[in-house]
Amino acid sequence: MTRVLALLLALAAPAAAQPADPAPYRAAFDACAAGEAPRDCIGDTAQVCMEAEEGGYTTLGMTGCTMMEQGLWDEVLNAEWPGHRAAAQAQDEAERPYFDGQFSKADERLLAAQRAWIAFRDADCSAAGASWGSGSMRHIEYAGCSLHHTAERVLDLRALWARN
Amino acid sequence: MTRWLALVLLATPALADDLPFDPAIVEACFGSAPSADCIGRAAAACTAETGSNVGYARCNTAEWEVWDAELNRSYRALIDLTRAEDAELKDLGSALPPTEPTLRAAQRAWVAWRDAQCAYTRSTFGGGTGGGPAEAECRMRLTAEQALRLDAELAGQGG
Repeated sequence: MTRVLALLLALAAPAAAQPADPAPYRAAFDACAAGEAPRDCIGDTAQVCMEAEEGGYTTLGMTGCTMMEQGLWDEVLNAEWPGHRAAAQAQDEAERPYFDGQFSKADERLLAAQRAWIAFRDADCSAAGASWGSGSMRHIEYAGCSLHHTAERVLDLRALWARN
Repeated sequence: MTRWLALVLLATPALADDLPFDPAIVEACFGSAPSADCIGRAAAACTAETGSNVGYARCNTAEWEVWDAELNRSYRALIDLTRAEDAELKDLGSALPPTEPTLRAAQRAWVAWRDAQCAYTRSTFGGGTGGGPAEAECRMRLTAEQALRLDAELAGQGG
């Protein structure tokens, strides 16, 4: 019993902030992410969560709400990713009969760009968090940085093919 | 008339002699709260006069050069500030790892991402002639966004 309690307490330590349950916020988030001006609502879901959840404005609460919205954007990114791959592959196929196929590189470069973006997001948010030293603000900062990068990535990837 | 032209040339010594590009339009965007609307304004004014894909690419490259100089300036200022803070914390006996290496790692990762992202943008044009100009626009835009982010960071740290 004592060991279980000790373990549970250890798991509840601040470093192990868990994302809030997205269920109550999903419908409003989806409506905005799929709507006309998704850029305007980046961060709104986290904000609503902080107001609604008990302890939403504690460090743990803010971090959990921000991680929750980051997770929702990540879901959108993953859901739309196959479409981006398909568009790049279709472009490559259409181009293949010409110039010996030397310009059929969209799919390969999309993958390279996405890998480079993940590395950039993580390095950038580590730097943003590090500027807060060991203070608990660094968790909120890291989560907020990751949320903004992920949301912007969703919109950037959409914009590239909307152009064509 | 000829004297006016001479003045215009003198005002833009570092840029291609015949490009109707005004760096002051870009510089007006510096340092303020990130205003993404500013990005591309100078290149657009330039392209309106040159027309053509080649003009578009050259105008965007000209704007990129101005943003790149601004990015280098803010990056160096941030590094200096961070290094000073790291040294101060160390003097106080702090066991915290220094922040400067994380900033350098982030900037290296940004450069790699910018290049990969703009290569991808180019490839979405296949063998079309729009690819080169689109890559130039992409590099200008991402550089500008990073410069404005670092400017804001610097302002937030009192730099």
